[in-house]
Amino acid sequence: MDQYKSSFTEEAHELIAEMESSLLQLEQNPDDNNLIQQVFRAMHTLKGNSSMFGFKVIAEFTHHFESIYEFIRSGQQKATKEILDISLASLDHLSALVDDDSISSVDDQKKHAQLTAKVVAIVNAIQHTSAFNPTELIPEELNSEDGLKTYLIHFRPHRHFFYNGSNPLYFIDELQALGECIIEIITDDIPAFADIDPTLCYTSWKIRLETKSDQAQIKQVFLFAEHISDLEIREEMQFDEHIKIPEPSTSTEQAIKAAPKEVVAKKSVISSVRVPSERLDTMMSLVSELITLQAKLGTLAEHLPHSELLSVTENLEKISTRLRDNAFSMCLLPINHMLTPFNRLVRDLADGLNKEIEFLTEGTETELDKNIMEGLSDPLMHLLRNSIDHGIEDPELREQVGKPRCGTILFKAYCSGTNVFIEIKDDGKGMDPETIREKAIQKGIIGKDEILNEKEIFNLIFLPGFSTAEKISEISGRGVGMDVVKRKITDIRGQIKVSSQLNIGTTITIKLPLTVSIIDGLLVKVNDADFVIPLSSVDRCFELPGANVLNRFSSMVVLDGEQVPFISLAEEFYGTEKNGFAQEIILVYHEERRVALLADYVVGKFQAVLKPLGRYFQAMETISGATILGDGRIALVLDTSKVIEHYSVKKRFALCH
Amino acid sequence: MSLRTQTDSYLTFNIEKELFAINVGRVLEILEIQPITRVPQSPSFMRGVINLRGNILPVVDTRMRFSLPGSDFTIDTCIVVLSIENNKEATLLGVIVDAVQKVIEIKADQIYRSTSISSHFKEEYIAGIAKVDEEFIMVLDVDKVFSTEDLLSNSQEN
Repeated sequence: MDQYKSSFTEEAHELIAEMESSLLQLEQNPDDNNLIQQVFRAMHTLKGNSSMFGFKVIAEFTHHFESIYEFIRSGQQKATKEILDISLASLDHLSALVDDDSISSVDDQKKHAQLTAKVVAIVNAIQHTSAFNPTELIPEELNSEDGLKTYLIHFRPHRHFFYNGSNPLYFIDELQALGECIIEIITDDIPAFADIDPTLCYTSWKIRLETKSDQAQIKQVFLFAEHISDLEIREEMQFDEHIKIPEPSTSTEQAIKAAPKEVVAKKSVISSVRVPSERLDTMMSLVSELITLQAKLGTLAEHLPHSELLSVTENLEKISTRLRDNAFSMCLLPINHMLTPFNRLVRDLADGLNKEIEFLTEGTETELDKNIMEGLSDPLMHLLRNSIDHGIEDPELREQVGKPRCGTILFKAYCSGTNVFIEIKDDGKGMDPETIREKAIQKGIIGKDEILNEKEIFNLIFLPGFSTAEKISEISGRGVGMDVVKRKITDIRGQIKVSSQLNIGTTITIKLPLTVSIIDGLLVKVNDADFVIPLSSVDRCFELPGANVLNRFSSMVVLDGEQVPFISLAEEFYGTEKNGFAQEIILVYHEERRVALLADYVVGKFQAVLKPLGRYFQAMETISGATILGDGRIALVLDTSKVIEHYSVKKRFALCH
Repeated sequence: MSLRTQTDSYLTFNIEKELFAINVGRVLEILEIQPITRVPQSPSFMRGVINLRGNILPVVDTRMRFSLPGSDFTIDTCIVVLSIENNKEATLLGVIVDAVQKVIEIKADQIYRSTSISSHFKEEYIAGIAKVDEEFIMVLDVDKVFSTEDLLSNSQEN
């Protein structure tokens, strides 16, 4: 049972997230019927699932909630802000209920009572104003005598009815909610006991229903069973009334006609398959192992020249590269996947602070590894909070300084090289370097007479114990902020930068690696040690040109008629070039420029399964990890931009002293 | 903290002339000395990394850690793989020792708090001193000797 329960919980959370995102979109386009349908469907499914698994409180709550959307769906009610507010609050509450159905905390109990009351109040209000009675949802009012019709319903679930977790009794329960039912169970199809397959459904039902609802409403009950059952609904003439012309019966033909629609809709949903993320992780680590093994085979094949072995190895390499790319792309998710909570956050916080904020997004189709995305959610949340709380001013203040009342926060994602960049840009009050400086002096982070440039000053906010908020608000400014953000970003091998202009706004840029585990690299030798340079940062390789081109004094080399600064990796790492002069030049990109790295020689292309060096080498920024070569030796993976930065810092330092 | 693992068995080994002991609860395995890939620009006592069955294992040179003169590896030189606790997180670390001796029993009441007896070793690294068979053995507090924080702050001094 626990297993079902956990799958219920998982699905419920997903449904809630789906509804949340639909609701937020609905707020922008209140008349979008599709969105309303989506909310309704998700709600209906949640209601069904929860009553099926015995989550009574949720079932009851969603029932009320669903009623509201039933009205909206039928056009009797607009999706007003009031309704959306309550809906969103209800979703949060539902999400809490899913984890704790019995409502153990007192706060939750209070909240539950409040929300239920509010939702019911809305339902009642609509009912009073509307002429039409959506009978499905208020069975108590059904008993009024006039307009009662009798239907004969034959409900024949398909054999595989249980396979998607449906429970026929649930549909019958719902029918009973419509009116008086006389139910006959048809058990003719049940085979001999020995032949029974307990996973199949053998039973069908004949139901005589007395209700005010029309056929469409009855069919609605079976909305989610349409494609897995045969349904026959026929109106029975009243015994004591004048003979009415019976409505054309909804025969199975009609049911079938309606069915294809449903099937089409289902198909478009099943175009993707849900896989637990642990399985993806396992697959990635298996692929990593395969690639390490393949490298080993490659080394072996080189030492045992055998034409067939070589061709097999080559093919294996091709396939494992494709497998790797494929597996890797499976772990990529578009960034808009993580945006719903942000939308919500901006909306709720802005409301709470009486600020007017428009949240714009750009480039949300940019893809990112799911593991990185997981690590990114908290820090981004924090940054957004900061922007809303400290960045954007009150509307009045904004008008005074000649800005539009409504502030803007732009969330922008884009891809560049092997990196994904995420920018959070607000048009708020910006940061004053002077204030930050004073604060830092006051807190003893920097000395009184220390001279820092603007960039360095802004970087102070990432230091532990630094918080510029004058008063500690509930939303941000607990003083644990930015240093934690920075640490979390660093944990996923990202970098964070901030720039700000007083009264114009603040921009925070986060640079992230595209992948976490496997990279294409160039294997090079430096003083007999192996290094891997990520291929993504490599422009091209040169044989070492004559010494006349290489100017050791100014550390410049002329390549293709262009002067390029160079760094000898051997000198940089070991102080000397053991094998005399380096033999080859690898041209790499660094920011907008190109820099030449000197190595003994280039071994070739290599797929590196990146392994972290661990905590003991945390401080080694120039090495981003290690990888195991085919023969079991270790090659270190270089972070070329760090090597270059490190080098230029050292050089500047040497010049100063 | 290092006495957390409640066993009285200790692995003894030599560094320079001294005899040391580590609770076997912390020892995962003992490897023969093998080529170690040096990580450039790292502190000298961080000897580098080795391939431990597909995983990267950092290796510390204990001699350098204790500011002793370096010496060439001999046939007796070993890498002892330890589980170190850093901020409640277990990390694997290889440490190079001159020679591994044996596993002995030391009862908790045989271990005496050390008074500063040797200038080579910081007192806080030593959990205590035991006297076994007329020999003094220094019982190491591995979490302290090889804590990442300690090693990293040490690296800044270098």
